[in-house]
Amino acid sequence: MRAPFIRETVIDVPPRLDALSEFAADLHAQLQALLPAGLEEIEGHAIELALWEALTNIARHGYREAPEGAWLRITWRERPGAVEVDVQDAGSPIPANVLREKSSTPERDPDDLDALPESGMGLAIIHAAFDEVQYATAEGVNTLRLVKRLPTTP
Amino acid sequence: MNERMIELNREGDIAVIEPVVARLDASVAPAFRQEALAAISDGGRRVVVDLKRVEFMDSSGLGALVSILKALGGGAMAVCNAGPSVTSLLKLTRMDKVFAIEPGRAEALARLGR
Repeated sequence: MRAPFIRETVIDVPPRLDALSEFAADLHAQLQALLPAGLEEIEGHAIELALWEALTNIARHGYREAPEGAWLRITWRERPGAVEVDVQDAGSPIPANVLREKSSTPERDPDDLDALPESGMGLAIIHAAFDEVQYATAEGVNTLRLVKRLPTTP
Repeated sequence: MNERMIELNREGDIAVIEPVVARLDASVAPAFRQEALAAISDGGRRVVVDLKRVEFMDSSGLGALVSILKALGGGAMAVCNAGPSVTSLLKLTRMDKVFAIEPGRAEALARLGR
């Protein structure tokens, strides 16, 4: 049995890249209000960045900028000791091999320029920002579930 | 979109590229990349990217910085005035190991030998 949530907030997000960018300030303000006390400032930045990466990935690759009937939703749940965030859409799912290959950030060699990525860093950022990352598709809806555990107070 | 993305200054043979947007994200990164690469197309080998006006950068903006670094073909690049959000991005992606990161423009220029 999963622990009940304390509070749930739903944020509907425009599923196009240009509209997303216009929505960014609004999203920032909402996230600032939702981020729990006890998180380091850098963790808050990381969470906002990771969610942004998830949203832009869906707009660009899931819906391919052709969002007839498209929708995109963040559901933010405060649970005891953790924040749980679902990012849901009805676009093309992330391919399994991409999920597998992009789940971690490799060490960087500044002398090996060819190995440095110019794109495709979003999923690794999401993994680095959250403690748990799950992805599932059911009945045409993709759910990216992200969990950030909160520090326990002594 | 025809808005200018960068301000370009020269300090000797060092190109100083300053993005003039508060958000260097996926919606503007391709235009920024194009302008920045044009700015060093004269064969310049040393570049400072001054991020003082950038409050938020995503992986697309970061990818554009990598493109600039690669275009220098072994030349030197320093990044300065990265705010807390950009610093978080650089750490999460381990790109803080790749770019020469300096607090301000003077230090960045000094890093490149100016």
